[in-house]
Amino acid sequence: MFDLENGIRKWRRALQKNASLREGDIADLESHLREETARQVGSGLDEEAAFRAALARSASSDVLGAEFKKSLPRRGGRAASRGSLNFLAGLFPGYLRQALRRMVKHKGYSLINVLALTVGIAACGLVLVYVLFETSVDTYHKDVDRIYRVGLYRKTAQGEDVLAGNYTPLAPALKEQYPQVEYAAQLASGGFEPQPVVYRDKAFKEANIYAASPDLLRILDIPLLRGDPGDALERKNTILLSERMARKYFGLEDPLGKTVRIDDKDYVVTGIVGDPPANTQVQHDILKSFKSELETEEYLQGWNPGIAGVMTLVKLKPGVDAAEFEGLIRDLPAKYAGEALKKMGAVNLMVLQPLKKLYLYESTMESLRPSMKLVYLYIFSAIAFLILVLACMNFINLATARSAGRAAEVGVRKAAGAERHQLIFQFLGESLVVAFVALSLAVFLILLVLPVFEGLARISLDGKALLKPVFAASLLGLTLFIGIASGIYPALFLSAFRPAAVLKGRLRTGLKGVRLRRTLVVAQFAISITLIIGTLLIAGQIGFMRGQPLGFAKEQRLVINFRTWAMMENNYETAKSELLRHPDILAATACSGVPGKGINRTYYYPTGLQAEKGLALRSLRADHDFFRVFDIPVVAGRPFQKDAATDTYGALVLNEQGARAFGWATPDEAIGKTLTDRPIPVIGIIRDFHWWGLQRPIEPMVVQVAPNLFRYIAMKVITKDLPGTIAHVKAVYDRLFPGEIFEYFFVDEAFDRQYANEVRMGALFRIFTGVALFIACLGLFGLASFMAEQRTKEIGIRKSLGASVPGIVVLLSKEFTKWVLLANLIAWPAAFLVGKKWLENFAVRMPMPWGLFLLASVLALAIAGLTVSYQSFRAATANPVDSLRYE
Amino acid sequence: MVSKALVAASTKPIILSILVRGEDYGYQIIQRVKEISGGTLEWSDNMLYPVLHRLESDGFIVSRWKISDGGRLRKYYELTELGRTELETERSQWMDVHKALARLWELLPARD
Repeated sequence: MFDLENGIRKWRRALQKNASLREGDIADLESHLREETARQVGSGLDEEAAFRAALARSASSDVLGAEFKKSLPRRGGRAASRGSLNFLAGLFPGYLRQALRRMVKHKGYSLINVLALTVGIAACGLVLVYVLFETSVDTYHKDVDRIYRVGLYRKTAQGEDVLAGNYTPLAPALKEQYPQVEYAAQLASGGFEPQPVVYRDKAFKEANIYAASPDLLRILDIPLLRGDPGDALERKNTILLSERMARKYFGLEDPLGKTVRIDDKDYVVTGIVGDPPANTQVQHDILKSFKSELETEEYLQGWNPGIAGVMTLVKLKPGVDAAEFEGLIRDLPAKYAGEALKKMGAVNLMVLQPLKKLYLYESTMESLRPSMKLVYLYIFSAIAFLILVLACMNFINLATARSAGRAAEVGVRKAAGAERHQLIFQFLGESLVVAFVALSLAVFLILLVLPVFEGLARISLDGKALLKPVFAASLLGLTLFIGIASGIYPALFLSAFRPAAVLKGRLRTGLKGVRLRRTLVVAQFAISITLIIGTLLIAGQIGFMRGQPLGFAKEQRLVINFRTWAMMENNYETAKSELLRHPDILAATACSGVPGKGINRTYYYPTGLQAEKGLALRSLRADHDFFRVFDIPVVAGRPFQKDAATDTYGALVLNEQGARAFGWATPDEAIGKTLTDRPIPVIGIIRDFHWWGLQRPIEPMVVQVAPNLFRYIAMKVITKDLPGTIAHVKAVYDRLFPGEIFEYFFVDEAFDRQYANEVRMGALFRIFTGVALFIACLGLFGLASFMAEQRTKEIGIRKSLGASVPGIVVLLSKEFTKWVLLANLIAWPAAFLVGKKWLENFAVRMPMPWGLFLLASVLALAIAGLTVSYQSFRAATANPVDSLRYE
Repeated sequence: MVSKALVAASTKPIILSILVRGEDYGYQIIQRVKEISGGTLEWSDNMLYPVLHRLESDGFIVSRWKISDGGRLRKYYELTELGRTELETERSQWMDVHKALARLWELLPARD
């Protein structure tokens, strides 16, 4: 088969060898050759013969060269005779102007490109901000590479874990005995509830209260702005305030030397420290000296292996090998608490944890958990990358699809003497211009949206964060990357056009173009559908968790809390009976905690089996009404009874898990058995219920009537007049505890707050999915409009032959529909794999919701359909006369 | 067959005269010339295009590429103001020569 293009190519190459023939001259000759060939074909010859005939009529390369050369000296005009470099330099400002002019001329397509890129860059910028913040937490301290937390690894017959807290006397012991340690500090948080802080007329509840030893200021970057560095945190009952705390309570007054009352104790202010930045886990608004706590809290004395509630931070001397040092201190627990540990059958080891890693490998005051934060960081970074890819794909698709329109321009430039690499630079330059225009808009968008985003992602930045060179450089680099990545393929593609190439309606390379376009659209929708499934999955799992039975009744349970145990211990009976006087309060119980709130662990073991079966269980203290208030069924034995005197302090109730953990196969088996060496009998077993949100499994639990540790009264309330009922509760409270701050909450609200993290992530996911879908649809919109434009003639003909508008819309939309359906093939497996992995983090998870997958696909199809059909409709309803007129 | 010298001398006025009727492209110009001359003037591509380029660099014509409906890329030329002026100059020059020859060959009365 004769290939005309091939023949012409060969002919061109021969001419190009002649130095006197410029590209522009060859362009003219090629145009002429094609015309002649067409004429010969018209008079009956086949293409090959026609071509040869046309060639014959044209002169040989030498003659042509000579003729053109003859006119050479007279050539003086315009761009033709300039060298490449001159050409480039001369046209550079022209490039810019031209690029901008082009953008304005093709407003529609330019808008789509710029919009898609702007949104893409903005999304990436926000994720960048988020990532930069999260990775900067507690990494700014001076010499942070030498700072470690000493964690406590515990292994018992029941399992192993690593705690954030450690033995109380550890820090001073380390500093004293190990020359490798430069500083060592104790840090304890203030408990589960905020404490009341009072100075004169200012009384608030504060949560950011810590107790710390003096070395903390030498380990963490906490600047002491006022006060004696030698005295800070040294003496008993002294505190340091942050600047903002000082302002809050003292206004313009000088706080130094003044006395502040925190939770029934007086403290003297001996210094002011700088405000804690947002990116530190220790929000040191109020720092009490650790010595104060040591004296009052009995449980903090000595090397007590049951208590690991004090964080120990160390700063090693320069040059000390951390692994070596860890080896040295590893067995300290055995040294100091060996006896007790052996009795418990537990092994404790010291572990060095670098401070830098503590945030993303999250910990609570209780134990170290691999953090969802890091997982989400990865997920969102991946999503941002995908969105960027989407935007680039848009650009490539639109640029190549519309390439036919630029063929003339390429022809002109080449005819004027441009070489291919110049054209490549020109097109690349154009895409960079688009990218940078998008960047400027994106920056505005980011600034606009930042406050909302900060709220959602639970980060807060000072304005300086955005100016950080890392951020600006990354954003610039990103834009450059996008500009080049999007622009390189179209640049290569477009610059390959030869002037006077015959364009038969669709590009001869049209077939290749279609495959690329299809691949890109499929990829875009695969990504979008995966994201939609992800969003639905998160929402689904949250809904599932919220809908699951918890094993106790959480609605309509009103709770008030008491600041001190002392308040409760002596008054709870009175309080309860007064409260129950209200007809809408059906039952009340005093307890140490309610589901959803904090709960400690206490160490228990079956009598005589301390080493083999010792276990730290969740330990709830509650009176005999607890199970009734929360509708928790007793499955074996009996609940606590008011009239049984020994039930107070002298009886224990376990949940089913607790019974199993101690080795009793059935609940009935556990009844009558005793725990600890006192011994205390197990009198009843309750059904397992979820204390925590369903992300966490049910843990073994023990319940004891221990009024000395009650802090809450929980009430079952069924009322049509809630404010009235609460007023009654407040009245009782105020009467019994004049001067105390009254606070209440509902169990269902507090419980639901445990899902806050997932809800937040769900919101962020929704946003990014929306962005991705938006970009994909923009691309589809542009593509559809272009393809419809291409086929106006065809549509015109069809309509004049009687095709209906819906018929044409279907025809035009069919192809895109196929592509979106194809995208599902990729999206479903991807979403399934990732979704499965994510769900594994939840103790209670919903079954893989195939219905949601279907929903996502239908949604994507619907949106794509809408997008395409708008264009198809417009094309279909265009007047056929208009499109046929130009024939 | 017309002598090379005549062909060469006549290309400029012919081209300018064709373009005064409206813009046109190279291949078509050749066809028109062939038609109008009754086949005696058959210009080749290597003759026409260099002349077109020279005329353009002299400023008498300007060119631009256009895509036809059939999708073909063509370079169209049109006359500039300078070109119109130049055409007038050419015409009067040719007419002078023509008158001389016409008188010599008794086509015109000799001196009127």
